[in-house]
Amino acid sequence: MADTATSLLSSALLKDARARERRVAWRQTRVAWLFIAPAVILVGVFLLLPVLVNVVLSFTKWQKFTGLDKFAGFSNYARLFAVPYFSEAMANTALWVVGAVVLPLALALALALLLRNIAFQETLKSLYFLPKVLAPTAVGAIWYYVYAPHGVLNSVVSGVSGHGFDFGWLYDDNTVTPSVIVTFVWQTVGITMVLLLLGLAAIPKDPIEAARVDGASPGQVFRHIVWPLLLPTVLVVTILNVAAGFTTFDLLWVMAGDYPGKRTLSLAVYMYYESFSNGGWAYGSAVAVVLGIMVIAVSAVLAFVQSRVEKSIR
Amino acid sequence: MSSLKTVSAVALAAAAMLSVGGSYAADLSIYSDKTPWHDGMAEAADIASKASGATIKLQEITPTDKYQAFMQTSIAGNNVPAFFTWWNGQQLSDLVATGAVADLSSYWDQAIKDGNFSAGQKDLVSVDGKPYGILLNVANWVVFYNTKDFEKAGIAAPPKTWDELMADCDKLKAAGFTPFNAPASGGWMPFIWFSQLVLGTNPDAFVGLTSNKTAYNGPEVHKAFQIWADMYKKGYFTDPREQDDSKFFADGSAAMFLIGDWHSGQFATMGMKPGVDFKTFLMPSVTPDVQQSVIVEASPIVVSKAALAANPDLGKAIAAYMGPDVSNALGTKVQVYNGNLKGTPPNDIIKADNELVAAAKPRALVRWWEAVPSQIQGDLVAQMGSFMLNPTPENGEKVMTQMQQINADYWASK
Repeated sequence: MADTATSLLSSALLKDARARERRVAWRQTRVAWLFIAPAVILVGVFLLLPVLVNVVLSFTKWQKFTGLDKFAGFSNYARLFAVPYFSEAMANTALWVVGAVVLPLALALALALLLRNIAFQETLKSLYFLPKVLAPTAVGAIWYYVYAPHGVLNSVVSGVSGHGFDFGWLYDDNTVTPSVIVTFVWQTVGITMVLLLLGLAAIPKDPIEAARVDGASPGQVFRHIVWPLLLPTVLVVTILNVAAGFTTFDLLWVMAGDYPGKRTLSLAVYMYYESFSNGGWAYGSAVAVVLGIMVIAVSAVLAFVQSRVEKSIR
Repeated sequence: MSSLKTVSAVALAAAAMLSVGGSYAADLSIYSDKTPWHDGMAEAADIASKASGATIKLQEITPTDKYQAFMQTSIAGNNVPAFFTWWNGQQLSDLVATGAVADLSSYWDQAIKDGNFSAGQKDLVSVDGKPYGILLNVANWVVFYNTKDFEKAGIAAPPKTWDELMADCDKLKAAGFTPFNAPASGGWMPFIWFSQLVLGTNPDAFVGLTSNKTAYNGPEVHKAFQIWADMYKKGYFTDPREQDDSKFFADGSAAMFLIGDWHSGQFATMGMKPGVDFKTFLMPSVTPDVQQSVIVEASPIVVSKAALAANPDLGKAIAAYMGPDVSNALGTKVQVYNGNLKGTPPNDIIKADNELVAAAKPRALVRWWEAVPSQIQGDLVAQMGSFMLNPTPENGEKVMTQMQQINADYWASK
């Protein structure tokens, strides 16, 4: 049919029509680009370009004032595994990722389920959410005084035990990371709870009612209906918290600034320390590249799992 | 089409703004991380501005690591501020090696001729015999002591030997005072007692630490750590975890504080009257037959070679910075003394310290912080800090081993 219509037109008319079509298409494309240009420029200049520059820097010998123009090959990456600090920072980061995912999720889920059916739930939700509106540095400064040798925690222990207690929670190898994780959980549990509440609200009531009618216990309802339907939200929360766990810096830097081994408290701290404190800009860039790859890889795996879960629900 | 023109105009405006931002750091500014000295630095900049006819603005960046990072990236990007504060010793050598800062020989020659500074002071900011800095602060490291605490402990005069000092520590303990305020805060303070005990037992070994001639786990350092651990065991030091570095000295619970005499201004602002509530003495050597040493801390202002070449009037500003007016402004405003011989020491303590040093003629040593390669400075201080938190001989062994490993790795990579 189309061939027949085309054959009725002269080639000059057809050419003209196609040119007009191209002009309209180009005009539309131009307008579209005009609208998306600000976003593309901002993302390009402030996100992609710095990432690219960082990757380039990781292959230079830039340390302190010099070496920016000298090619180092993979030596900065080789050094990651030659010194003990990187593996120590990695181990602490792994602890952080587990702590930042499991604890807020478990607590937030318990709170979300609890708060659905009690009085003053809106007030309580707001109270739990409140720490999230504080800047992490402010949270760090507040909790520093909770853990200080003569701070709130030790004063409580002293009061309860009747003996003077001035343990340095933020100065001891065994307690510094767990102490800061507790602070992170305190700040994160509220937002995690809100996200889970949204997920819970989106679960249709019908299958739950049907299960109850069929005699399912509350535990069975949760395990077989609520949890599978909540899983996509849980995975979103997990991705957010994994990224936060990998990149934790501010709380550690503010709270554990005087801990002698602070350099390896997390990969993000290690990256900053090597760059800003030691002036090892190229090496710090290599740490940043590895950290970025790890975050992207783990997030990609979780996103893949999330898509599979969503498909299985449908 | 008009939309495209608008976008282009915005892009051009943004590019113009970026280019203005790029040249900002090269304007006539003096950069500093010494925010507690703001008033003095600002007045000094005004004096230099008037002398040169240029406008020199004070720009402050804090904390120190952020400031150093800013300077490193600025210099690597060939965007050096006209003036900026730096450190002497190895830190200055590293900076000079970049070729970014100006040789100030002619200005120093004139300042010495005018009687503002001495040739010895020039050495404090020299690399390979050439001066690259204007003196901003020259401080002797002394022991501050609380006169009331000493009086209550029955100590009539400050100690002159190590044995007398230890005996006084016992008296202070018996009177209920902690002998020494010894914080580990600020990312640098742990080196104070480490340095003092090494240089007090073997000053040559102390100098060797900074050039890889002395091992951090060698016998000289072992001896220092033994004394350090013993002093902790006897309760001679305050809790290193306290964040306010002067609190225990200012409130009188600690009787002495080993620190640079630029701290006298800080004690004054905390309510202690210099020369009345606190005085100073020179730390005696630990080993009696070792010459007494004193740490001399010097903070320089360095000048961009490019800025000086582009703007010869900056020379007048340099001369003004080396004159007595700037020295007196620093002294009056922030109780800091830059050593200008025509200037007036800002308080009785600094004046007395200069007299003490002149009388005792101790060996002057560059502070460990400035003398050690800056790439390992923070790592070594962290180790010293970890010893202060757990000052046992066993932990001392561990710390010394790790320090030597850090040191050896650095020198092997050179």
